[in-house]
Order: sequence, then C-alpha cells, then structure tokens
Amino acid sequence: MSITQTGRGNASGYEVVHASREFRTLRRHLGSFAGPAIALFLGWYFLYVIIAAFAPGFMRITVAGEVNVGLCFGALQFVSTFLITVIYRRWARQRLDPPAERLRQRLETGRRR
Amino acid sequence: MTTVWVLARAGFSLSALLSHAAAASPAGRAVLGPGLLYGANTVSRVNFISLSLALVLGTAGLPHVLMRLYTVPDAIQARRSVVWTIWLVGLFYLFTLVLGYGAMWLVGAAQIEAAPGKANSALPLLAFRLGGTLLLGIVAAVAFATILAVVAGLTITASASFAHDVYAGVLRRGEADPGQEVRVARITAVVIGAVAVIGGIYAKDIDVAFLVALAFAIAASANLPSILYSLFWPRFTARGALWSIYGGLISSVGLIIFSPVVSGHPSAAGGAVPSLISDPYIDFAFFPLDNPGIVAIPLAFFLGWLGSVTDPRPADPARFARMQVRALTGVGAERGDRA
Repeated sequence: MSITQTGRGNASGYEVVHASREFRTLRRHLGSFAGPAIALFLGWYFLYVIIAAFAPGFMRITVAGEVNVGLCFGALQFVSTFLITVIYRRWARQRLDPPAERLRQRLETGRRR
Repeated sequence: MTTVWVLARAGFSLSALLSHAAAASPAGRAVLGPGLLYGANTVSRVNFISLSLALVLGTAGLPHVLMRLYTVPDAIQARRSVVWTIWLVGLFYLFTLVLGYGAMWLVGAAQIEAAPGKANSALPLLAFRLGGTLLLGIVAAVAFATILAVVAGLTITASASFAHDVYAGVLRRGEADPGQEVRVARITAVVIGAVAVIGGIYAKDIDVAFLVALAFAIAASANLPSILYSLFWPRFTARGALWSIYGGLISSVGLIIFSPVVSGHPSAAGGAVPSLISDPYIDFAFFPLDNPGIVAIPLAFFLGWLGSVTDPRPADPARFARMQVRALTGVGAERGDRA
C-alpha cells in the first residue's frame, strides 16, 4: 500500500521513510544550506540595524553627492536578499528537488513497486 | 510610475532628490541619516532594534501570507510564488525610499501634518502634487484594492479558524453540522470586521507603518516559534505549542497595551508617536518600548522550548516523522498536473 493510502493507520510508514538514508541525506542537504544562510543573513541584517542605532555618525558619511553610507548599506541589504533568493533557487533545483521528487514518487506509488 | 516621476523631477539624480528633501524638511540634513526618530537615547535605540526584529521575523509568521500557500501542490510551486513575491515586494520597498523623500520635498512636512491621517497622507498628497486628481485617484484605488485583499484574507483565515477549530472542534467536540459551521464562520467574519472597524476608527491618525510593525511583532511571537519548532524539532509537543502561542500572543498584545502606544504620550513629544488614549492623566504605560518584539519574540521561543521539555507526555515521533517527510517531499499534497 502506498504511504498516502495507509494514512494514519500506518503512521510508522512515515517513520520508516524518516529514518531512511535517502531522507536523512535530503534533510542534511537542506540543513547545510539553510543553517549557514540564515545565520549569515540575520547577522548581516542586524549588523545594519546595530550600526544604524549606535554609530549613526558612520552612516551619515557621504559617499557620492548626498548619498551616504547608510543608504548604500541599506541598498546592499536588498542586493543580498535578491542574491540569496537567486542562489537558493538554483541550489534547490539542483540539490533538493530531484531527491525529493524521487522519494515522493516512491512513496506515492508504493503499491506498484 | 510615481517613483520614476519623482526621480525625473530631480533630474534622475538620487543625490539631488536627497538634497531637495533635506532642504525642504524642518530637520534639515538630519533626515538623511539615521537617528532622527530613534536615536535620541538608549530607550529609543532599543526601540529601533525591537522594531527591526519584529519586522524581519514577523514576515515569516503572517497568517494571511501563510494561508496563500495552502493550495500549493509542491515545493517548486511554493518556491516560485515566494521568489516572485521577494522580487516584487523588494523592488516596491526600494521605490518607497524615493517616494518618501519625494514627498518630503514636493509636498512638505507642514502640509502632510495638516492633512487627515497625517503621515499616512504623504503618498496620496505626492500623487496629487505630481499628477493631479487622476494620479491621486489611481493611487487611492490601488491602495484600496490592496487593503481589501489583505483584509479579506485575514477575515477568511480568522473566521474559518474560529468556525472550524473553536466551534466545531472545541465547542461541539468535532460533531458540528457543516451548515452550522458555515453560519458560525459568517457570523465570526461580521464580528471580526466590526471590531476591526471600531479599532481602526480610534487609530485613524496613527502612522500605518507603525501599526504594521506591531502586527508583525504579534505574528512573530505567536506564530513563528511554533512553525519553526514543528518543522525542525522532534521533541516539540502540543503543550510547547500552546505555551508558545498563548505566551507570545499575550505578551505581545499585553506589552503593547502597557506601552506608550496606548497611553501616556498625548502629544508627539520628541518625534515619538502619540498614544491612542489622548488624556494625559491616564498613564498605565510601564513598558517603555513602542514595539514589544525584543521581549515577546524570545519569550515565545523560550516558552515553546520550556513547555515541551517539561511536558510529562513525550512528543509523538510518528507525527513528527510524518510532518517532516510531508514537508520535505510533498507527499500527500494534491497535484495539479498529475492524476
């Protein structure tokens, strides 16, 4: 019986998958990206916040005309957001989606295995 | 479009725009740097950090946004919608930078303060200044449509949750008649709408950006810890979830009630936001910050942990396995394209 058909009656089916090497690899891949990425972008964001709050003089230094360091720093926050988005999308498509899809296929058509 | 227009007025130079804005503002060049609103003293700096924390984490916990992901068939689709959103919203936020300084320059602080809604009228007034009633009409229509979409999403989420979970699940112990459930959902929607309207009338002059930050703080405290723990921590129990949700909700809303937002600051002294209750003799604000994020969010995470580790009933490994497997592989979600 496929995993979705057994539903709650065979919840241990999910446990078997959960403990399988394929699933654990998938989860580890996700963790290896998500963990560092989250630490990085939150750290970067709070660096911006803390400097703005406690070193406003630094932020007021002008860089080009009236555009100051603060604005550039802020703009860089946007750039980093877009960058992370693009990188994550590519990475996920290569490293997460194929194994996830394989696992899903196997689970849903378990009956025809 | 308005952004391009403002930039065009400034000769497509960001620098020129900034210097025009600084010249027009009563605070002068100080508006170009940080600290004007939140830099006066340590309390306001902590306020700023609290606000930033609420904004960055609250985005991940907004119910009306999360709800839109219910119908997604797999991770690829979910990722696609999120990526689109990030680009669109990100660009929009960049535009608001130009619009804000543009309003400062082309409309002026005095006119904005004098208009109904005060700071909230900056963009409509800017539109009016640039494109007359036509642009103002377009901007107002777009704003209204957006607000309706958000309010509709929130009302549906709230009334459906109440009818399905509280009424059917708790009050009727899972035995409610579906017709009754729908009726309860409808009544709830009306009640929520009425409460929101009344609340809105009292808060009509408060800066919307400020209120949004409060909503984000509540979302980040009540929703986010439970979501993260459920997905990634096997020992998370129902009790931990309850403690986290109730704790986050009560602490964030409670701290807001006892903050300067609701009482104690009848006038906008020193750039601070004026209170909801404008009688200067009523002051029960013992919490000094305008935004509860820095207290409520960590508290909610802590309560989620504490509730789980002290729970006499252990977490259910089967349920966690099911949740994680479904989350990472998409098993069991309805596909749009396959049979």
